[in-house]
Amino acid sequence: MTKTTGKERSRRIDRFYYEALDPFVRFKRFAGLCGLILGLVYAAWSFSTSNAVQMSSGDLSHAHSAWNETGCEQCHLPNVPIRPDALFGSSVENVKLNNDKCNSKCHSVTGHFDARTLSVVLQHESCSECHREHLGKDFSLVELSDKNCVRCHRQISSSLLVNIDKSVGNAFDFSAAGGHPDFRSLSKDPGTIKFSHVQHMRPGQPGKPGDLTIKRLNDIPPQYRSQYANRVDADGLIQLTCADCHAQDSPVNGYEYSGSSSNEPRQSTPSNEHYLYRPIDFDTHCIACHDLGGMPHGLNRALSKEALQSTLAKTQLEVTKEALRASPGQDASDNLVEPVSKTKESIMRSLDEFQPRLEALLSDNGWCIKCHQLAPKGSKEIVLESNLPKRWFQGAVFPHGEHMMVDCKACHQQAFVQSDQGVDSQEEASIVMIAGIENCRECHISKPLDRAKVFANSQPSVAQANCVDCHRYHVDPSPNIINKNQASHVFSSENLELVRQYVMRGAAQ
Amino acid sequence: MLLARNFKLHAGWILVVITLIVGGASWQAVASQNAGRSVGGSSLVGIVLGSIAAMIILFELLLWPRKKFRKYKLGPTRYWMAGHIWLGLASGPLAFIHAGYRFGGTFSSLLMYLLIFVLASGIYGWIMQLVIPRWMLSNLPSETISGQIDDVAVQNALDARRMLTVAYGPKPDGLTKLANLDDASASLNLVRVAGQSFSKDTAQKQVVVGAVQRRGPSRGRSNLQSDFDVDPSDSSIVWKEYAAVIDVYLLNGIQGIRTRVARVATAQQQRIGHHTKVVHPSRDGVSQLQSYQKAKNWFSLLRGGCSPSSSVILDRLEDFCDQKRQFDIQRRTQSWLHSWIAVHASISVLLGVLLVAHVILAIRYM
Repeated sequence: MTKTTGKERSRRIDRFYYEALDPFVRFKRFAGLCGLILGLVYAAWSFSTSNAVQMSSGDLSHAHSAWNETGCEQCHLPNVPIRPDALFGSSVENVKLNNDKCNSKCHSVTGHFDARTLSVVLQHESCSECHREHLGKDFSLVELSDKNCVRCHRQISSSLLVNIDKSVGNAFDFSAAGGHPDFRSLSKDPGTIKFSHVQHMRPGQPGKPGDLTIKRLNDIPPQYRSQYANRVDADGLIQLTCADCHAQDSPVNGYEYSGSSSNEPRQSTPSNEHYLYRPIDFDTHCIACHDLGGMPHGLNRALSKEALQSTLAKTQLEVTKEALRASPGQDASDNLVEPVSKTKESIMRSLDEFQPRLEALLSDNGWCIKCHQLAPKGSKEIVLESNLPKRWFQGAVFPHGEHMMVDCKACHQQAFVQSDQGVDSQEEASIVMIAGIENCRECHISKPLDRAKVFANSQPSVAQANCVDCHRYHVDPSPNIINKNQASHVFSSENLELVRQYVMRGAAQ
Repeated sequence: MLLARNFKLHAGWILVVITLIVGGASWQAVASQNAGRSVGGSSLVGIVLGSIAAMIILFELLLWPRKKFRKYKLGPTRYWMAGHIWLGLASGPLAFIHAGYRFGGTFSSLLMYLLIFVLASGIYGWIMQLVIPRWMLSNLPSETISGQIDDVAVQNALDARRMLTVAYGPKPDGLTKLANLDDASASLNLVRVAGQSFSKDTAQKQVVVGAVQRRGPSRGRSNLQSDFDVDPSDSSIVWKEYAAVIDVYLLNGIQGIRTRVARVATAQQQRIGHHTKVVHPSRDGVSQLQSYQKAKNWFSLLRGGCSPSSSVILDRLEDFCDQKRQFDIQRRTQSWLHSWIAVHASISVLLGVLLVAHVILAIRYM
């Protein structure tokens, strides 16, 4: 056997060894093919409508979660970007198409001063601009960042709006100086009622301290004493509290409550409860001390003689029918002559007394002008409308229910002014009893860091100051908010009813 | 290690990556600040960053076809690899920023998880590529071309048989039968030397490309010699142990003859203790030879049963066993070095397909 050379030994390596497929390469190709097939199958499967949830960019919020399984077309229009901030999505047409889809399906919300907004702004006013979806089931659609509002309201100028209301101010930060305009709604008290909180919060409600006209429990008619029985202080004087006149209404949602009728359905959710206060009602809150001598409250001048006679005739007929019902089987022509005659007599007496009493009330020293301002002569009304706003903030919501931990005095300091002087009710009535924006800023601080600093300085009652805490977008608030505290029975037809009740009371006596 | 050696090459890519990530994150932060929320994929910044990430992923996938078309000289591999590594690392953060730091729904989450998995497998592979070749260079002097391990191992077995034949004469009758390597040789495309038959078709391909790597104790030695001055009385014991243990070990695990060798080995291992008076450290001679220390002891015992003149033969046999041990280690480390890429590549392809679907969906429902 000959000795082999290195050349011969090197021949044991196949020069074309790389042509043979390496096992690793074979495995890599096989795995790559598997990845390709798997990807194509999964993508095709996911694109089917029934599996659309696969393609969702995230779970829908709780309100829309049912559509997680039903396909993108429930909300999305093919090839129409739903977000205005999408690269190709910002056009008025796209926004309108998407908003119409929301409104046609379930929602019926109003715009936000659409007629006064330029198209350059409207092209961003898509539902999805503020209400972001696909951020999980627990994501709130209504807890919105201030940025949604500030992008326009920072410079709410003619470049954004047409026919702009000059009194609308710029707003970008509630707690910053100049970052939010003063409350326009509090600039002036539109009410005409002469009412002194100072006087009424004094024990016994004297016009000035030491006045002899103080009220003790025994000074008010017996039927109202139970209402104030627990308001008597050690001296026997009645000490009123806020709640004696300002009674909470049932929980309602911000602007959804019109308040015109208690029969209207009210939408209420546990997370968004707000408390309103019922309007002051003379027959509930005032009559105990301000009895009109049996005369009804809320009359006007539409009391013609004919109307009174007609009322009398109706009343007579009603009394006769009542007497017949009370004595069944008796002959009305014989046995009822005397009681009907007596009733008629008493009715006539009451009616005779009505007109002079009314004139007395309207006199310069009468009861009406104690609280009201007389209407101009020739007017149908006896007094001016009270004009007390049911809700003071015309462009915002103030949820009393969320401020129950705060003392009334914190925001209504003017109602608690202590004075040794007599009061001028008319002058005091022109004072708005609600504190301004600076008072709100003591607790409502927008910047988290500043909020933390205030909290650290032993002020535990600090709160956020987001736009949506007070303002609503989908309501043009002006027509809904000015709910004047109209006396509901100033119309002539109701006058007659009041008179009838008055006469009936007189007849009964 | 890699950075220290090729810092200039990588520095540029690192700068690009940092610029992309920091720039993208800053842009997204500003856009989010302006919008009052974390802007996502449909915003301008989201689309731009998403497009960049998608293009990076496409570039990453191009590495595969680039190997196919390397004859077109599409740039040095090291530049491609540097770009592949660093841009690939940037794609993850960019995709995450593009999505507004959210994983989103099932499909988009799957995309993100796949991307993370691709990045993780790539990083693993990168580390493997840095560590294992260096370790092999230091610790496996007999390393050969991975696809030729079986070929060289079989040739070693043939060389060993031929060496024993030259030294002691043909294998005595009655000993354990050796595995038939004719079929295996053909299937392994072997070239026989020193009088062995071989296929002409195969042989025509063979040229000198360099000697088989041999370093360490056997360095410089001739692999084959024409005559040996040995004591013929050792023939029986050497052939016996060779047939029963060494030959089985040299052919252990070789594709194509594995089954046959394993069957022979099983039968032989049962008799190993009876075939030699001096060698019975274990009933499993193959497992003895798999360990460097145990093999040394095993050969030491064998040398003790032979005359000193057979040492040269036993040294050579020990050297073959040492090479086989290194081949086995090399095979394992090669699997660590290369198997990850199958996972990396397959998930990358899956990611690429789903990315296309994601783009179509995004355009339709953005």
